[in-house]
Amino acid sequence: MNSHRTSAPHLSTVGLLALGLAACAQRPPSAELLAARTAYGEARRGPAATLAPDKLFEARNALEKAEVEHSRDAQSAEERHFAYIASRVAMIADVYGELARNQRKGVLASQELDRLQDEGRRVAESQLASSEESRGLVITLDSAVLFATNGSELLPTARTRLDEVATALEDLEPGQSIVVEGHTDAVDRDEQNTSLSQRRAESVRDYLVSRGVAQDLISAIGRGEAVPLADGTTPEGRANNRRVEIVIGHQGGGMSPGSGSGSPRGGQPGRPGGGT
Amino acid sequence: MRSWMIALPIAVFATGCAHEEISATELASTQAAVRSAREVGADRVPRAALHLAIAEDLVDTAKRFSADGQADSASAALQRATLDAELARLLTREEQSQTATDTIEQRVSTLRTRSRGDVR
Repeated sequence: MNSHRTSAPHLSTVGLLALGLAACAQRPPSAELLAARTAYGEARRGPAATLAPDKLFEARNALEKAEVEHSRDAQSAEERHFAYIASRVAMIADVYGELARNQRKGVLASQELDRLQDEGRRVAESQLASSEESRGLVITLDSAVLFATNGSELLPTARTRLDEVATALEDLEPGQSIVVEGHTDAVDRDEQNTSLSQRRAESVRDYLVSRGVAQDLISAIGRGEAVPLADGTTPEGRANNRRVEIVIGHQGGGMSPGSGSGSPRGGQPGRPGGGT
Repeated sequence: MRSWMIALPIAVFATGCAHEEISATELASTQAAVRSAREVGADRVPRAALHLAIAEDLVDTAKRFSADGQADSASAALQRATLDAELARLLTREEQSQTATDTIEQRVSTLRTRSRGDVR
């Protein structure tokens, strides 16, 4: 009898426990566990799967731990705690993946930028009329591209050309200096031409400085009509004479800006009528 | 309000270990993680700032648990805080990395356009 009396409560206890477990198994997961599952799913579908697999593996382990707690005691504090941990580990894995993807993109973009800059430099160097003279490398820019007639403010198109010059000047060796020389044709009075060429040279100098050329290495000088390149009696010759020259001095050597001043470096100068 | 929302499940999680305090090392380690996140600028990146704030709240919660002698709850709070701080730091790095990459890509795009002659 005793055994009956003791076994009845024992059975009922077992039954209640079984019921409790069954009820427990049917209880839905906590909000934390749902969030952890979502976070892990997102991480698995993101770049972490291929770029941060070790972090994703940690996230899976953390989620499994939370799932074990869920099957043991659904919505318990343990389940919620480990689910919280799992969601954060999954989010961290996801960010590691994004970071790795960004870094790859950054490296590729940097390589492409280097390539384009090199290409730009080569194009700039080939497009700019330049010549090696005793005074240094001379880059010649047509004034018509840089300024309006009689103006000394840079045209929008000039900025593009001067950007190319500034890029080319990035490779300047230590000890090299630059002189920007303004030249006009021989129309108008000499003083006016000198003044205009000076203002134009200064505009170019100031723009190059704004694009990173060291201020103490670059100077501006207006030569007016004094150093023509071509015969000034023809429109073509006068157009050639209206120019800005950027003279890059030899490394370590002194420059003699204006060497040859007053004498033409080609063609026969003249003083015809026409625009400046 | 947020502190209590965070603290409640942790308090329920471990109520059986009264009269114990968290180790100074554990607390210092979490505080270092929070400081590291703040130093990289997590408070200035909205997504990261949220997790930084949660981490800081959790540290405060852990201190209260510890003062009440609930070492396990305090330890659980610190564990969460460390992960939130790490997440804040990484989200900040991601944002910064994205910005840097965008800048380079923008320059690439500009150079490409220019080389095609679209911009005079």
